[in-house]
Amino acid sequence: MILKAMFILIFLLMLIYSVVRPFSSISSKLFLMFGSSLGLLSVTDLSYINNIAELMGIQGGAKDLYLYISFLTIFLFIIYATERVRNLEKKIIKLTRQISLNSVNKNK
Amino acid sequence: MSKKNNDYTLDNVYIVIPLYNEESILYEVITDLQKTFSNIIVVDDGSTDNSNELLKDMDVTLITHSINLGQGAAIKTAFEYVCTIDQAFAVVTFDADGQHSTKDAINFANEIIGCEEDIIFGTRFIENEEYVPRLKRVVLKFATRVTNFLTNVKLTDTHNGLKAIKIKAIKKLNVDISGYAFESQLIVEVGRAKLLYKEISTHISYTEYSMKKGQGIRNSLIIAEDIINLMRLK
Repeated sequence: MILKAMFILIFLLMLIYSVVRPFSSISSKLFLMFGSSLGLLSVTDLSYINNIAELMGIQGGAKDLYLYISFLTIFLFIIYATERVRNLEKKIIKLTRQISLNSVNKNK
Repeated sequence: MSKKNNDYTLDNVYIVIPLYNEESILYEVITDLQKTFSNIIVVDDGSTDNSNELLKDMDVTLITHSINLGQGAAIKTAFEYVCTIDQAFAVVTFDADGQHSTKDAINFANEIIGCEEDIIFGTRFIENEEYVPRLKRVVLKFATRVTNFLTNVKLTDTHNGLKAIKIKAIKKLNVDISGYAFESQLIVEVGRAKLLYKEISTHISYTEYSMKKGQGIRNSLIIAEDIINLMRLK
């Protein structure tokens, strides 16, 4: 019972956080809102999730819905991380090139 | 008042050499070029051997990347630097591993001064095809076909490091890829900017050293990756 209350509190805080925090991208905001709502519903009553899964046409119910969401999350995370690394790489390249141009060695 | 092409000499053509760990052949390559060219810019792309120390004692302009960024980034740095030099008319890009000949560089430099084209690409497939290793030939020809298909530029060799480009053309190019895909992006940009171009035959020395340095299968795979990047660019 205490554990359930703890999880409800965590998901509730996450949901409030997703609403209050200013995100740079709307997709990140929606993703956190959706995830925390789903978590909250799962802890409160699993039948809600089963209903959602049924509504979405997922035969296996909550279990399959979680599986699909996990795949989607992993996929999105990979894209996000790759893009982030690429942007950082671009910044490092720009910075290194600028430093090198500022210290050109003319042995002439 | 702007100068005419024939007002320029080889002193207005800058040799650009991207470099990464070439200490064993570097001295030979540069001293040979210095017999003809007075302006040589070497971009040390984060070498971990003694290349940088060697260059400090040579009569060249040395630009040093503190970390290895890739051939494309090295060339781009050199381009950015050359664009700040008033007397520069064109650049000739030249590989540091000794596979290009000074004779070809002189030919390219004279040609870019005299011709109306903005860029001259080197090609191994007009006269010297038989010197190219078989696997390399197959990969390069495939890469060329794909590149020609995807861009508005028709070339016979899309991955030749020897090129001559006028400064006014460099200013029109928007290249930001740091690795080998730089070559493809450059071609895409030539097509986009509608620059005038032509090809000149080059001789590539496939020495044991240059093969070891990346002219083998590994390099072929990099070119294959480059084709995928090109599709992404389009």
